[in-house]
Amino acid sequence: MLDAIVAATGQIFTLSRLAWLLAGVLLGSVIGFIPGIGGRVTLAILLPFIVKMDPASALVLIVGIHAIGNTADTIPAILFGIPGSTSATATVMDGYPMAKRGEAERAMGASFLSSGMGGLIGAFTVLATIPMIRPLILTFGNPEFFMTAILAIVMIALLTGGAPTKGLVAGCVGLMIGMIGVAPQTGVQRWTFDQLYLSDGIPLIPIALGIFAIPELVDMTLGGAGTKIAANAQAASLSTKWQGVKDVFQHWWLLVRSSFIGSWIGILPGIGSGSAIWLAYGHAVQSSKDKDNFGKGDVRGVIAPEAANNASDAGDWCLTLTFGIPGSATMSLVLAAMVLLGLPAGPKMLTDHLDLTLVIVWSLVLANLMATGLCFLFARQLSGITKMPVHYLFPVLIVLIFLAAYQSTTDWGDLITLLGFSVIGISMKRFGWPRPPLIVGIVLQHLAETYFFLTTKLYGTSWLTRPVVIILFVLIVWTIVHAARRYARDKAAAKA
Amino acid sequence: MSDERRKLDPSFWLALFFVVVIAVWVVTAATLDRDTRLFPWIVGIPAFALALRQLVADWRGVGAKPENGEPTPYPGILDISVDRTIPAEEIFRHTIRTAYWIVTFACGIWLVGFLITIPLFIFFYLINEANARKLPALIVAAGMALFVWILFDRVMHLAWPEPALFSLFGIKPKF
Repeated sequence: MLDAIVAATGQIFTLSRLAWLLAGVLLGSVIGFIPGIGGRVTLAILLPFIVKMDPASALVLIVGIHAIGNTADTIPAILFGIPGSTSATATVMDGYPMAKRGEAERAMGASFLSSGMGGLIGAFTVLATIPMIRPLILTFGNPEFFMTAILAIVMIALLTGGAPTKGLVAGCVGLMIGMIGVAPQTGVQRWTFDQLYLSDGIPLIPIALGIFAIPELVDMTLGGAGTKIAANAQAASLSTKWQGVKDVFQHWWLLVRSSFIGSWIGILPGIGSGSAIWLAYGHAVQSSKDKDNFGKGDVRGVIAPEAANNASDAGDWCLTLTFGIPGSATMSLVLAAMVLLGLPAGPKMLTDHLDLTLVIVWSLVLANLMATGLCFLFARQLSGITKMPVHYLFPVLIVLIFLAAYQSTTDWGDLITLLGFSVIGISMKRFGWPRPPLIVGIVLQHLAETYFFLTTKLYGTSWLTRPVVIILFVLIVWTIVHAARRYARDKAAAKA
Repeated sequence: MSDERRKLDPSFWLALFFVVVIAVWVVTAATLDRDTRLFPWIVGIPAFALALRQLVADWRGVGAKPENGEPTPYPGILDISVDRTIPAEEIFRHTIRTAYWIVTFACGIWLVGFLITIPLFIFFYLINEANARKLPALIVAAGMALFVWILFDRVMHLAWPEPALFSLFGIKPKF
């Protein structure tokens, strides 16, 4: 192991490799900023060109592109309330209200630093767990995966506080929307109405953009011509990225906890950062004494998901490399790149190619630092966008949203989905129905159903006695009891 | 009970929508085989009960009933907070107006495709809604169209949808 670390360090700290890493970060930043496009498209464009590169340089370039994608997707989430990718949906919750309050630079400072630190903690966690990664993952069987999915949905659904029923209904509707398409275990079509577009399931990007982005854009222009996102220009000039940095250090323990949540979720196959961010966000809300500011621009609501997002990325990499299981669409492209480069993704990456695995870990560390530095450098200029008249931004953002939705499957269905879910998103926002549980339900449906099916078929009822299942069950019950107590307390306070 | 207290919570209509959708889901799942319908029923049946509970609550006006003075509608909801200082009628009018622009853009894409609709939409929106002068509007529209063409057409080779108007006249656009 020590020899491999030395060899990997020697391989990464050369001028050419560092230049490739920087090139990846810069390339990723050009496209990564556009909502819904991100690192995945950059990787797809570059795939044919990396075939002729040496494996270490190619991997370094890929990591660079990927790392900036996860950091830059926060920018549209904070500035416009448009999640750059599904892993930035939780950041919208508090990042955008901060921008509206004139604290975009502060939110970005906190977000970039949390992303960078989360990425570092994630990379070091993966590095530390490489020798025991296999037994660690094997402690999680089908029942544990199923219970994790249920925990995530229950946690987010019940964090709605004032409306637990609405939260649970939204979560269940999300699960049911996720069920549209071919059933994973039987291959039977469900609610596809003989439409080819629906047989693969409804893509997540048009749904997320419809549920979150369009309602925010509609509200953004509410003040008429001349309105700016940052209504309070004085606050905008006082709030700096350094305030965001201070916030991160002030809430360092939340950052560490969220990073560990992200790392662990990233290592688990199939769950991905889309769930990690919500689990971290839910944890931030649940573990806070003063919960009232969440959703109104609480910096902790930015720190937790951003740290978890980048930390889960390291775990995702680890899973792809050591098991050959891609945890996301981007990781499928990484796997494709590895095949093109002649690298055997799987256990051999921990034996025959351990040096390359460690090169990736090193690259993750350095790329996160570079990405954070680059985004941090332009935080002030980017936050300046919130002082522009929103009516100039609106048509440009609508165009980008439609393009991002359309490139999901390049089908008319993407645009119809976007419009349909925009109506649902606007109605949910207006009528006090929480939107996050709906998205989490859709994200976790495939995982929940697949593992539920396997669990009931393989274990019967004996899975209920497995120790990790019991722990997760206790956590679910605790979440429900906690939410019920809070609801009763709020109701009593309202009556008093 | 006064008329004001009888006023239906607007959330009722969304609850009704969810009740109907979930009911259709659950009923139609009955036509599927046992393994395929198991999970939809496990999720759908409790979801239907919960949605029904919410529907009744909204019907009775639990959420919106003013107890002591003006209530804060939908307190404690974990979501981006909504500006409640603006009158509901104004928000509704604005939403319809914005929806008109979004639907017009979508119809434009359907009729003449993305690359023609984008500059036209941006130009007319800026003129009408932002009270922009023609030259800046033209620059923004042209700049955005150029950016989209370079990135999505030339670099990403995005498969653009075939515009309905072009199909009608048998024209095959080069983009």
